[in-house]
Amino acid sequence: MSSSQFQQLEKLGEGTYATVYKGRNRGTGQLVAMKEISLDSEEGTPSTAIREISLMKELKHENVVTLYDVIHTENKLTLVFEYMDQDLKQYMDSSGYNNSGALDPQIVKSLMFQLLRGIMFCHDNRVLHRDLKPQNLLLNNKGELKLGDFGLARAFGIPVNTFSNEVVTLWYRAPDVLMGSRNYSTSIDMWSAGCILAEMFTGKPLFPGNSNDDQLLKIFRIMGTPNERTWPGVSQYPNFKNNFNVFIPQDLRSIIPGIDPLALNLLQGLLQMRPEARISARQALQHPWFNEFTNPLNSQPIPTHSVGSQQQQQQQAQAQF
Amino acid sequence: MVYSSLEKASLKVFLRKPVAQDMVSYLAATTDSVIKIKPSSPNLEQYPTPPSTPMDNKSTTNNNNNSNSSKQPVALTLFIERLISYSNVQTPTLMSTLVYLIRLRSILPSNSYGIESTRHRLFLGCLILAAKNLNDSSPLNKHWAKYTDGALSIKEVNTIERELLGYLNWDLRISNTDLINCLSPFLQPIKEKLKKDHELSLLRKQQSVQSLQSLQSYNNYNTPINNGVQHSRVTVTPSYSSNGSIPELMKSSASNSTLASNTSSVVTPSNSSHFLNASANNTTDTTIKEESEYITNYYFKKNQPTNTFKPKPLRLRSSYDNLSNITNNINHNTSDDFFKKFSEEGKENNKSNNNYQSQKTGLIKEKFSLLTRAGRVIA
Repeated sequence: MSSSQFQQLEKLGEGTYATVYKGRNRGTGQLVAMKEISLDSEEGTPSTAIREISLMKELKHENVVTLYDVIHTENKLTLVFEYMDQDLKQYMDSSGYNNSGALDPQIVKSLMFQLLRGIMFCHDNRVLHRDLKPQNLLLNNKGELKLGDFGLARAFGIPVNTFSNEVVTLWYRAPDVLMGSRNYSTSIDMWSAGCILAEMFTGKPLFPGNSNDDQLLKIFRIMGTPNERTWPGVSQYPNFKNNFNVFIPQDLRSIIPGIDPLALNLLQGLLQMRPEARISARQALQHPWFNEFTNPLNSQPIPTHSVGSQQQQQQQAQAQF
Repeated sequence: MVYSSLEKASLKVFLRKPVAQDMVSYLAATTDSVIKIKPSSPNLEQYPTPPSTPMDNKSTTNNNNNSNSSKQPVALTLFIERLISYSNVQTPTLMSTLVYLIRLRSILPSNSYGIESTRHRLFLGCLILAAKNLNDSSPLNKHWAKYTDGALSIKEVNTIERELLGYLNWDLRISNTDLINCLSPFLQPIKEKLKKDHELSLLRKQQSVQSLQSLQSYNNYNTPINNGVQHSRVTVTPSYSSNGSIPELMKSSASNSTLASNTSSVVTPSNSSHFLNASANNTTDTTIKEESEYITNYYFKKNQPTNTFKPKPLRLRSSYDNLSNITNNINHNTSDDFFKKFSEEGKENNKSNNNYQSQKTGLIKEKFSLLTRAGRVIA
């Protein structure tokens, strides 16, 4: 299908290895997002694209963005995705009580539930996303959240692949990966999910480090410096230093004032330093905080809301000007 | 098809092996089977091959294109060997290409023909895709072009990769089942060896117990005179390991992915004891059963996790004396079958041994205190 089948509209964003344009299917008029990757002749087809396409072809789920088509020419590779209005980062930046980016707790619950469903679907299909962050979580006007950008995703569970530890954007990278672990698994995505949950509440990244060591420091300052007692085996990690300055764990309520105790409990389950202690996506979805979604019968009615729905957007618009 | 843990273990054992000649020849044979070659008919020779388009200045490799397309390509096995040595590709990635080759074979129409170098291109394409898909860092296409010793230019390598992605329709997922199916000729001998090792180690464990028993009966009929006879050291081999391969099976799998359970091991204690029970004649007399379990525990340190199990060498002299004293306290005539049950019941799964020990400490302590009061220091 030649790219002429899609009419290219304005540019949506620029990634490290791709530019994303808005597009319209000339035949059906359907809006699409066109991710264009310029092919460097020395590298050939980048392995990130090879993995993103081969994995996404199989991941059909309402909380994972759909890949419609791939157009592969000698010097350009175009991935045609379903169109999503904005990503979580843009949404947080444009909303929040006094533009602090903090979201309404009820919206946080709905978005977190959808994020966890998307993660569980990937993990059940033995795919690690490995780059969960607000910029990669896409929202549409119907309040739906979908996982996007599977460029760093990886299949796991087969004894033939070698993993690197330079994965996941620094702020959302798990402590075991920061300390050089290479045999991580699904727990790597659960740490990122915890950081995103906290960020949705406050509007600010939980651990905004600027280097590997600084990132570890920021985590230790809040979660406490790990040692052999609290985390048996931690000193075996390649980047572990025994002269890390020692912090004691803080109460997360000091960072997210007024957080609902159930949400706090879920957050603590996700932000476990030890990878094997972190709860799985399936366990997180069964957390009582989501009762109104999981067993609505015996819980209070969900206040009607939808992220960015027409009337809701007008309210927000008026609030801002 | 659910693959057994034995198959998965044999896969792990195979993938740790260094690249070997039989792998290369199997790869070449499989590649040959993917597509037939139309022998270049003589009349083709008359038309000189047109000079290929000049290399675009950006690419650094200076392959002299004109010569390689008319020259006869090097033998496929040699081509593969060179690729392996230049790229230092390891067994997991190298042998995963089989999955793509076999997948390709089922996609390519059966009447398709290739030219001499088609097989080389197909193999290289599959290797590049395996490397890029499976490893977070893999060579760039310009490196792969160099590894063909000038046979293929960077442009050709990129084209091969793109066409192969088209044929495979970007379906590059590899599952354990794919690997076990495609590598079965290599896994079969390993599986047999693993099974044999396991049976051997169980047999040897029973023999070591019986030899303890025969020494015991030797003691009954001759007073133990200390004539400096060097008792043959009975070393109890660890319950499973007879060579390097078995303890690996007991190691918990590295990734705690949802499928591979943390304590997955090939021969889980539960089915191994099932194996043992089938051969044991289980007695109903629990006191002897408990007694023997305790002895097993005490002397063979069964309750340690098997993969870190370091058999304490039995200094037979002292423990032998203890054994004889213990049996003297129990009515004498049961000592023979007492030991016959010894090996079977003793191997109940560890759980029962532990709680057995805690209940029975009172009884045992009293016995041993008897011994220590008698001035005999326990080794």
